This record gives sequence, C-alpha cells and structure tokens, in this order.
Amino acid sequence: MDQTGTAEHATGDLFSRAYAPMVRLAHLITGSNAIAEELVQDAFVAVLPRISQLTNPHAYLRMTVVNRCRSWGRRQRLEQRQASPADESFVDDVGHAELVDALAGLPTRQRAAVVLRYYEDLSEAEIADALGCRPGTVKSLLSRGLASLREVVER
Amino acid sequence: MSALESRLKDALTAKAATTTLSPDARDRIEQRVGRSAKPRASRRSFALAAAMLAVVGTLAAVSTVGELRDDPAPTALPRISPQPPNRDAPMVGLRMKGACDSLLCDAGVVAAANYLMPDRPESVLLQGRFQDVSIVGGEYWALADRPSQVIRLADGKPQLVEDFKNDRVRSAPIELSDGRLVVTTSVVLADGTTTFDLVIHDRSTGARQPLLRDENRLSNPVIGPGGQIGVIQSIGDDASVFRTFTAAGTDLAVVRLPERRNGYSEVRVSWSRLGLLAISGNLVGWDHDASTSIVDPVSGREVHHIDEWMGQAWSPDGTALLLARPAAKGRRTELATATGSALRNSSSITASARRSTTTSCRCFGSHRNDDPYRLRVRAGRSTSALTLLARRSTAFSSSSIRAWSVRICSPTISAPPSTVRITSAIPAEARYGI
Repeated sequence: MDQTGTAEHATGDLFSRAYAPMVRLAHLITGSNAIAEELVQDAFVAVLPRISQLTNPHAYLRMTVVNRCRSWGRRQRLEQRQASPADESFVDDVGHAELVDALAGLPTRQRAAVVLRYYEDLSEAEIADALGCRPGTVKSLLSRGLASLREVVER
Repeated sequence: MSALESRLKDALTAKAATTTLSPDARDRIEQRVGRSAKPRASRRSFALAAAMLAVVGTLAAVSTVGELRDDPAPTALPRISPQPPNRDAPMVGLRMKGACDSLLCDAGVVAAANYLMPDRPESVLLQGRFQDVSIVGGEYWALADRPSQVIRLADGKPQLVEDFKNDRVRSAPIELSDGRLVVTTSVVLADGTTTFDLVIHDRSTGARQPLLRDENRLSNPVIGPGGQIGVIQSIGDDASVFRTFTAAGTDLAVVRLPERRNGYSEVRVSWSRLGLLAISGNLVGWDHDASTSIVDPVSGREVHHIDEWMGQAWSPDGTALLLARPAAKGRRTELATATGSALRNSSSITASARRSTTTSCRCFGSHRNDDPYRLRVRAGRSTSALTLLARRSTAFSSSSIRAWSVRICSPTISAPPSTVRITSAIPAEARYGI
C-alpha cells in the first residue's frame, strides 16, 4: 500500500474505532449531544492531517477532544456571565437525573476526570495524559469530584 | 468500588447511551480536512510575508510581541535577590475600616487583593460589587466594575477618587508613593480594534503618562520591592510575559513567565518583599481549578509551583505565602500557609465549618460569578482579609487565625444568602503534595 493509501486506511480506521466513543465522551463532559459532535468533528479535522506522525492517534485524539470540551466550557462560562443559561439541559435521563445533574455542577476538569475514570475506565496515568496534569492531581480531582457528588447524593 | 462509584458508572453509561451520531459525520470531516489542506500553501506564503514584515517592525524597535518572543529576557532589572522564604511570619492582612455605606453595599461580588499588614482593631461589614480591590497606604481602593470608578474607602466611607468612564479598567489600580495611579485600561479604537494601555494617571492634573500600549492584554499592575511597576502582558492563549518599568517610565525588563498549558484566568499577582512573584489563577477552561507559580521576576524562572491552591498574600517580610482553595467537601474554603525553603513547608489553617442552615442553596449549575451573596466579617480586635476564591469568599484574621466562609447562592433560589462562620483554626499539616 502506498503512503496515501496507508494514511487513508489509518484515517478510516481511527474514525470507525473512535468517532462514536469520542462523541459519547464529549457528550458526558459537555452535556450536549450536538455540541459533542461538533467538537469531536473539529478534533478529527485537527488530528487527521497529522495522523501519520502520531504514535498513539487514539490517545492524542482523546486529549484533543477533552481539550476542546474544556475550551467550550470556558466559552460557556463567559457566555453565562453575560446572561443566558445553556440551551440543552444536562439532565435528560430521569433515572440518573440527580447524579448526572450533580456531575454537571462539577468544575469542568473534575468532571472530565470523573468521566474518563468511570466511563472510559482509564487509569490515573492515562487520565493525567489526557488532562495534561500529574497523576497526583488526577487523584485529587477524582477525590474532590466524588466528594462533591457524594455530598449532593446524600443530601 | 463504592456504591456511589457503581451508581456513577451506571449513570454515565445510561447518559452515554442517549448519544446520537450524525450519519454523514465522516463525509463532513473528510470534506473539512480536504478544504483545510488546500489553502495551507497560501497560508504559509502569508505567514512568510507576515514574518518578513515582523522583522521590519522589530528593526523599527517597536515593542511588539514578535520582539518579545525573539528576545525574551533582556534583563536590565536591578537584581532584587529573590530568596526562598525560610521561616514562618505573620500573614499579611487587609485593613478593614468599619462598615461601608450603601454606595458599596449593594449585594454583589467582592474581590480583594494586595493585602496590607493590619494593626487596627476594626471590624467590617463589606458587601459590594467590585471587580477588584487593591490596598494602598492603610486604606483600600475599590474598583467598581461598572462604571470604572476608583473609590477610596476611608473610615468606611466611600470617596470617588477617579472615574475612568471612557476606559475599561481591567485590574485594580495601584498607587505610587507620589499619589499617582497606575492603571491598565483597554480602549476600543475607531476601527473596532482594542488596545491595552498601561498608564500612570495623575489625579490632580488628569495627565497620563503612557508606559505601554499593546494589542495584547495588559493586566495586574503591581509594585515591586524596589518601587518598580510590573504588569502582566499576554502574548498568546497560553503565554505571557512580565514587564517592569520604573515610575519614570523606563522600560526595565521583559521576562517570559512559565507557560501553563491552559493559561490562567482571574489572575492574582503578589510581589513579595524578597522579590518573588506569586502568580495565581484559575486554569482556563477548568472552571475554578487554581494554581500558583512562584516566579523569579528577574529570570522568569519558576521557583516553585503549587497545584490547586491560589496564592493570596505574602507575609510582610516575604517569607510566607497565604494559600486558599475550595474545600473538597462542602462549599468552604481551605486556607494554608507555605513557608520554608522554596515554600515547600505548608501548614493548614483551615477550620471546620458549620453547615449553612439554608440547605436550599445550590452553588453549581446555574451559578454565575455575579450571583449575590452576603459576607459578614467580625474580626474582633484583629483585622481581616476578604477574597473571592472560586466563587467562594474567605476572610481570615492575622492575629487569631479565624476564617469565615460564605455559601454563594444561585440567584434563582429565593432563600436569603447565608453566612457560615468557621470557628477558630487548628494548625495542622496540609495534605497537598508540593
């Protein structure tokens, strides 16, 4: 297979393996399906041209998605300061509404750590890579995130 | 795995199962990748042309970001000999003077920075809506966020000192020994672009001495131990430099600050008597996840980094730094001091708090920074400091360490804001790793 073919194959492979999981991940972090798709597509557009240079495209893509969720969260915060609440409620699952609502209340970074740990089942080291921090910080983020969730749930 | 963790897993899985995918996602991505690949060559040409222009601009000796990046450390700054703190010291506090009146007492966000050593037995009831407050000469200057007024609080009475109504003042002003104000402002020009100015403003004549004008954001003016004026200048999403000037306007130095991957927001800067800068902020995009860099302003080298804590104030002798962060449990704030070699020794001064009786208050979700709250500080014969940290407020007293924390309520909750008093502190080893 020539170089172009290899790149195309890698692109297709990454898309079929990672697109849906990444949208789910972004959905859990942002709380919005539509935003999640948009962010993940942006991430793919950024990552695909470089795919042949990446040793672990999947991990890099995940980091990019998490970073874009973070940036989106930042913009949301700024917009919320101006006025309007988010368009889409995070709470759309009645059975787990309380917990999911509480998750939405966590700081974005804690929320991302919790989602990566309990949805993606990543290790602390992998979460640290995705968040760009130290494993010790991940431990702390998870502990603080769980403590906040516990407080809400037990209230 | 605990019951909560199992429940959380189930909740996340259930939530993820509701995710839907666009059938044409792959086509759209490929289209966009194809589109973005094409103009790359022309972008490169443009970048090359821009780079050539930048070189010409640099030769013209204009203070530009390009110049800063090419030459990040032309260090003409007199050496201040920053030394790592090595002993405990009393913390710096904010002098409070009685209760403020109605001009300043409308409920709103209060932020305080740049503390002074307190020595007067005053108590305070301060509520108000300020973007920032800086402390000068035993009184404090409050900067209301709208309009941009500089207000002096003397004996609890607000006096309008200056109104920068045509400027947007971004950070609390500082006052030079001769009474002039150092202010960072942003100005929208006729063509719609925004410039940022660092100016010395003479209140008596209205004259302004510009120190720096740049298209990049300038913020957090601060006075150094040698009387230098420092300011933070952003040079990109994640990068910033610390620039210093003499009060006469001489450009002393530009040093690149350590880059945090995500950059900071809500930055606080404190310059210790020993010459070290404590630069704190919330990591951009991560809501209120605080971080503090201890930086040598001469070299730009990060002497030490403290994750998850905001540096609030240096002790008067510069040997200790007060840190604060939201508590893991409850809506409280933990306080700690960092001392010793490179600030690696830490002591918690956080006390336990009674929970608010207003249980209907919820602080997340719809919470915004300008949500109203009430903060009441009674410091007895000691003076206290206030600060807004991660949407929580903290007060501390320097003589008998006491701390108060305030629960911030969502504006949608009709219950009155509540005040929680934290009882006296129990010094203990802090558990964070530095």
